[in-house]
Amino acid sequence: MLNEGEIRTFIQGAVHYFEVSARQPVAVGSPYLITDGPPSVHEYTGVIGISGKRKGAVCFTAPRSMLMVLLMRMNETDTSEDNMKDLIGEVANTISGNARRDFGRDFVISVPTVVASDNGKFTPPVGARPFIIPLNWRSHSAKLIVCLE
Amino acid sequence: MIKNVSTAWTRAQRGPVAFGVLVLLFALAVLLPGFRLAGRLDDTAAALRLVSEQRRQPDIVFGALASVRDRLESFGYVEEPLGELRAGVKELDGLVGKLTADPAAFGTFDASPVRAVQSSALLKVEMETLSKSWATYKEALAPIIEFTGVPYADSESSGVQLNPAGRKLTVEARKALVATRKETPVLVAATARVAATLEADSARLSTYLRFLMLAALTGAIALGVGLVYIAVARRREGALLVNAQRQTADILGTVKEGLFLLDEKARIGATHSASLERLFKRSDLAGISFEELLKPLVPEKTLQTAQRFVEVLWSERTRENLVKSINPLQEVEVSFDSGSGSQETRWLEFDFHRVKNDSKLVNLLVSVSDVTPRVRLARELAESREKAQSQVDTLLGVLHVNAAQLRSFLSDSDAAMKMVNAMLREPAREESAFRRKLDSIFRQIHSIKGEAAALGLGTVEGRAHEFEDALKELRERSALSGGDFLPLVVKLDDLFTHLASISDLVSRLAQLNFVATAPEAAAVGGAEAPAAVAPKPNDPISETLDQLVERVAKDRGKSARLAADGLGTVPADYRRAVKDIAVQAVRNALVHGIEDPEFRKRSGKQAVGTIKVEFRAEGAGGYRLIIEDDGAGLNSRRIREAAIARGIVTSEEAARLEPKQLLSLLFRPGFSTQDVADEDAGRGVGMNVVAELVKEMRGRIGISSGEGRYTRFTIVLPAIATVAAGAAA
Repeated sequence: MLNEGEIRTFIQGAVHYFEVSARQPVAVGSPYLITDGPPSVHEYTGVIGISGKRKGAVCFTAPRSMLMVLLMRMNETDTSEDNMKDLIGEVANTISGNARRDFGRDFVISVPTVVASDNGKFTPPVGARPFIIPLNWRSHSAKLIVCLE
Repeated sequence: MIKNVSTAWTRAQRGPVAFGVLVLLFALAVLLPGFRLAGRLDDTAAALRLVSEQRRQPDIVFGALASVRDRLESFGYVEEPLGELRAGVKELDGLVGKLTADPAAFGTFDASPVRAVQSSALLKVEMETLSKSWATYKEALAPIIEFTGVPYADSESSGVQLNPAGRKLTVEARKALVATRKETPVLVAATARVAATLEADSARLSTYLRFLMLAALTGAIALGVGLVYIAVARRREGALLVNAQRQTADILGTVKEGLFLLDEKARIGATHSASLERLFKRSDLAGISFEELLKPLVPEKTLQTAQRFVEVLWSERTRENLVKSINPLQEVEVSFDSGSGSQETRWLEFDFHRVKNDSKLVNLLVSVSDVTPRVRLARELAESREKAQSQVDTLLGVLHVNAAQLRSFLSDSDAAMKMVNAMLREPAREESAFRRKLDSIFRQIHSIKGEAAALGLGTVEGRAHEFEDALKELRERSALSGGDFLPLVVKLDDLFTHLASISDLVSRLAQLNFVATAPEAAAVGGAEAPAAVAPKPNDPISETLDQLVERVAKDRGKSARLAADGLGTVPADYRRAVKDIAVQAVRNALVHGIEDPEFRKRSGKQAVGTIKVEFRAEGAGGYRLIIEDDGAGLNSRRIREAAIARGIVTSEEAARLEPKQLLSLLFRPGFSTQDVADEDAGRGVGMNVVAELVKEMRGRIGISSGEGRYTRFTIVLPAIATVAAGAAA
């Protein structure tokens, strides 16, 4: 069974990114489960594959509007598709870096891949029930999807 | 393997060396005597040639002497025979001188007749005879040889006459002839003997030399044969070596294990198996240190332990088997970058063997195997064993439960958990919203727990209880945020998984018609329990309550029976709520109301307590649910004290409360008269949940109690349509 500490590590990675890079903290919403079907994702999703002690994936998914504001806040005027992807990849990287530091060799964490889609669904690589952790930033809401078995 | 190759090399080197020594010895054994023999033969030949040349000289000298005398007597020309005589003497003198000279006067490589004489004792004797005879001979000839001048005097008067010198010479010549006539045969014989001895010596030496040559030829043939043998052997050994090397290469190229040697400085040898490169995904292995090999793959601590382990292995005092038992690299998890960004995890097993040469430790042979499939299989096996055990536990936990009850419970619980999830999912950013969530979740979980307890599903009850603990902990926090709900979600996930596994089990058992037969078995097994005496209930709520009474009574050392009535007529819309209320109220009755059997007897009551649960329809489509026990009744003093102790009211407020108000405290959140919370009571949520449920159904609740006699809860529920209308409003 997935333990709380493991999920917290992923949450901390995302929180850390917003604190440091966006210099504005993110509010963690109350988490919940997806009990039926695949979880829905926003326009941009960074996926980190996990193997080792646990198998599955962790995603950070955010809407275009949020990334746009985030880029502006970081004094980045280029809001092209590539830059959006880079940004989401960077958040995912911070999350995976944090996890690597905390979990050590127990978890084998892949380099993030970035997926852009409009109102897509994320199909988890494993049969575990996905945990959704809403991340509210200003008026926007992103999600962390933790699907590990 | 390595040792064999080195032995082969030694043998290959030893052959030629031995052969070289043999050739040297052969050369010394043949050439040195041959050299000496050839020298002696040369000396003998020179001596023999000399003696042979001068062999006739004594006769010539004698003839010349006679001729001198004859010429003197006939007044002939004497100078010619005198010259011959002198020449003969000189030759013989030379012969004797050469055969008796100092051997040192001749060089090593010069033919030396005297060395031939010196080397033979017989020749020495003969030479002595010859020398003596010659000395005598020569002495006799000396006056003649020394003669100079003319022996004649020519005068007119007497013609040619011997002059005095001539006469003396004639006398001497006659004397010499007498002397030499006797000595000449001696001298000739002596010379002949010397010649014969020299010839014999020459023949002997020639024979020796032939034998030596024959021996040399034999030796040379033997050496030749030896040389051929060695060449063949070397060729064979070379072929063996090449073959051994090829076999070694084949083994190293084919073997699955990574094999390599570690020297004393913990460096990897130049040769290793091909698999090693595949296992470590690198090719620069030759010559690198063990540390360099492991560092990128294992944690620092494992690396240090492994290095110490290798050091211990090098210490020959420690027993190899003992050391191997503490091998820290028996199952090492390593991760490699698969190249596409992801990591590949494998498990490697290192095994160490000491390699000794002449009982001296020279290397450590390290074999590395990829044991990933084995480790994965073992883990899967452990997981499946754990899963199977957990399924057996679950199975044992559900076997006694009626199938219909279980299905009803599973369906209700699934709905409750989905409700909890929906509550969690509801967006909330404010404190009050979070607290509302907590309260709603609490009711759902408590309901699951209640029914699980009633059905005796310990594993579910335990999980729900822990869930409640987590909820309680959150409730007590002064500030809440979304992240605080994470433990609840984890527990919810666990509960979902657990109930799914029960559901799966139930479906499978249903296929076997197993669960359906279980209640009968349970009833027979529980024949001693008072509840079992009652007629068998025939609706799921009664059955649930019956089991609850039986279990809680047993746990608390009490005796009680359930008297259920009309529970089979509960409308579907109320079924869940009625069940939750009844479960809570019956549990409260057992825990707080029914006294223990001894106490009851002393109080003049029946030892077995009775809990009545009655459901009936009332006029105008309403319903009435009554839960009544014949226990101790409500104790105003205890209620007051508990309310004060739990901070629900102050002591002043409590003192002012009227009996009816006092009873209403029972429905306040957090109220309980039990000091320590357990799975049945004490958390102070039960009656609050009842009140909330009644409120949700727009019903009313009333309590009446007679101290020492009874407690009765009366719940009045409106008609279903009214509830729906209320909800819609």
